Amino acid sequence: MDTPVEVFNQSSSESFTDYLSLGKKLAILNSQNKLQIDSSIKIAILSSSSMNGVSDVLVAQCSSFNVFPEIYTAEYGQYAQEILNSQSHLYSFNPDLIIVNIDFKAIAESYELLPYQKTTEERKSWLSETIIFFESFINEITFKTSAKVLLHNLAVPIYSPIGIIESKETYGFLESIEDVNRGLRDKYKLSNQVFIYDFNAFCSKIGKTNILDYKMYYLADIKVKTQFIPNLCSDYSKYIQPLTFKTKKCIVLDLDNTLWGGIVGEVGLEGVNLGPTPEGRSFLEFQKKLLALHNRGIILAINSKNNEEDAMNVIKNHPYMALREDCFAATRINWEDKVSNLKSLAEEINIGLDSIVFFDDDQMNRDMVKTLLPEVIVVDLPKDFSQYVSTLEDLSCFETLSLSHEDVQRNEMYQAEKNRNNLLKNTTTLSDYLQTLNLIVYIEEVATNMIPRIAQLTQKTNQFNLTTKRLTEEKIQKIVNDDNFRIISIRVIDKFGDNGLTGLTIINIKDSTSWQIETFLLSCRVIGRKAEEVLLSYVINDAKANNVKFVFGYFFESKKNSLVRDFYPNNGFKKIDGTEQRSTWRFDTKKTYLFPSYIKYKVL
Amino acid sequence: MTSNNQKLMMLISSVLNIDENSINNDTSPENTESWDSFNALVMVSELESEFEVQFSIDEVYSVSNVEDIKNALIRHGIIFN
Repeated sequence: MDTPVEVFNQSSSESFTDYLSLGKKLAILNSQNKLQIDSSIKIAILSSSSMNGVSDVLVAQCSSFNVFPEIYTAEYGQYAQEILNSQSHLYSFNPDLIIVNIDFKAIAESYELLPYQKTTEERKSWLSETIIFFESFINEITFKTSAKVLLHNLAVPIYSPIGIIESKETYGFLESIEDVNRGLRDKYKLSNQVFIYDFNAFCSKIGKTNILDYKMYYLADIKVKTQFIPNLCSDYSKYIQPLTFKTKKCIVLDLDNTLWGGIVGEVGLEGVNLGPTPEGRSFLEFQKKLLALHNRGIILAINSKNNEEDAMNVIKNHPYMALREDCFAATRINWEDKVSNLKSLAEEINIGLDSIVFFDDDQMNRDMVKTLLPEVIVVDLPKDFSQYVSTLEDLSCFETLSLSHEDVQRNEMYQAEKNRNNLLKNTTTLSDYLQTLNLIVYIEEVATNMIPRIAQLTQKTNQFNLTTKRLTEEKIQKIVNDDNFRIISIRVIDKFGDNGLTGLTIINIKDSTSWQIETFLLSCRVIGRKAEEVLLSYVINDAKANNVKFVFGYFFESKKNSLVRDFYPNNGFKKIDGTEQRSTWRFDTKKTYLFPSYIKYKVL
Repeated sequence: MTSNNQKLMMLISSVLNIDENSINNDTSPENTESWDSFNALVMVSELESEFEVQFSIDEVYSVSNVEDIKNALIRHGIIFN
């Protein structure tokens, strides 16, 4: 049985018709139970014009990142009925994502055709009525579901009957449509449920004179020419990837002819192309674009065949190097093969190979990685390095629906981890090492502003995760509001930096004599420092203080959590029930629980 | 070089998801299940970009089988041997 991405890799995917037939093929395989689906998402599409073909193309594109979506496309023009009627198929379908495409022509045909039949005042009131129109539909949806909503903004026309003096109008036709877009963006700026899709920017990118073919519009109400449907779906995919946790975290870079022009081992620091020349600017700007991604939390690493000394000389001393040593979480500058290096980089940074995007100008290296590590995304860098920047800009695999504090700080944390590893090499025993770290663990009951990070941790943590319960932001919100539960988080700080919110437990306290630890997890970046024992100690001592007799813990085996198989027995819990795969453990609070004296902790 | 006839057959076969060898002048929506109204329009778009022509709405309506498509293309100066 094939996975969606395997089917994708066997098919061609260049044109609209390629995608169309690939989408149909995947649907058939699925209906015959011949598709191995690891990740799915339910998407509803509501549109005022024909979305024929979108569903198949979207299925095809999602297969590129191994997701098989279930899609419901409502009859076009039926969006109001679907949204307003709580018995509609939209709601019984129970989507995770609702795409709402209500276009300008559909809601304001006469305004579009005869804009200056409206007076200035009427144009102004059209603006506020239109915002209310959208808002009322969106309110209905958010009231009835917790699905994420992707709302198209309006494509601003390029034609005005008054032509070049459009900009002289007191309140112009085009201005009023731009204001709808501005109003919608402002309205949903703070929402973590509703996202504005900049359809206007999409149309500009394709070209507004290209996107609509009047013939197709009159014949079949098609407002995006079919050949551009793959581009539209690729934009939708940017939202689907984070929702299905397919976002990539790390870019691994080659050096020669990737970050700079030329081979440093041959031409030396002075000879490489980097700086304000036509060749040098290609690399300089490419580096700066990578730096911008690094600043928003993407991890960078190096995988290069070179003498380390030669390469580090450029990284440290070249005047135009934008990416310096401290930008890289880990480096492999050696003569090993790129595949082994990638594996050991993944291990050092503590991420999966499926979180990595690999840049290398050498076709052979790329092919080797593609073959041996199919889970790594290998970017086909063009031969012409002046196209590197646009290649990077076209990647859509780094999208997130929100930037958490930890995302932005992640790179500082990895840098600190590098320093910690160096320290580890210089100290003898683990407890010596841990003592020199000056660990402080802050313990805090979860507040609303921490919910996105909490959800992220439950979704992403695999190794140190006792029950591997994946929880959405909405679910966490419910738990926070429920008096029968407590969520306690820890923030780990050491002398090298703040690791951020990196561990948590969810306890069911409904029964006043025995508490149940339903979730207990620790982010991999702080494993091995006994921070988990601080958290467990806090729970047990707090239970004791509340006259709770027993604390129960559970271990549910997953593919990746063998690390914590013995966590409860090692910490004084007794097994009372269960199998190898699922077991229940109990701690009697009459016993004392000690934790390492070298860790300070504070309860916030 | 690919002849215009080959190009046309490849295009129809890929849009309608049918075998090239099964296509002849009489192939039409009546005898081809996948030739629905949407695929008919997809075919118009694909023909326009493949042969760099523009069809009018009248021409779109006048097509009822593969022979009609060929004739429409011939009217736009595409040569079939």
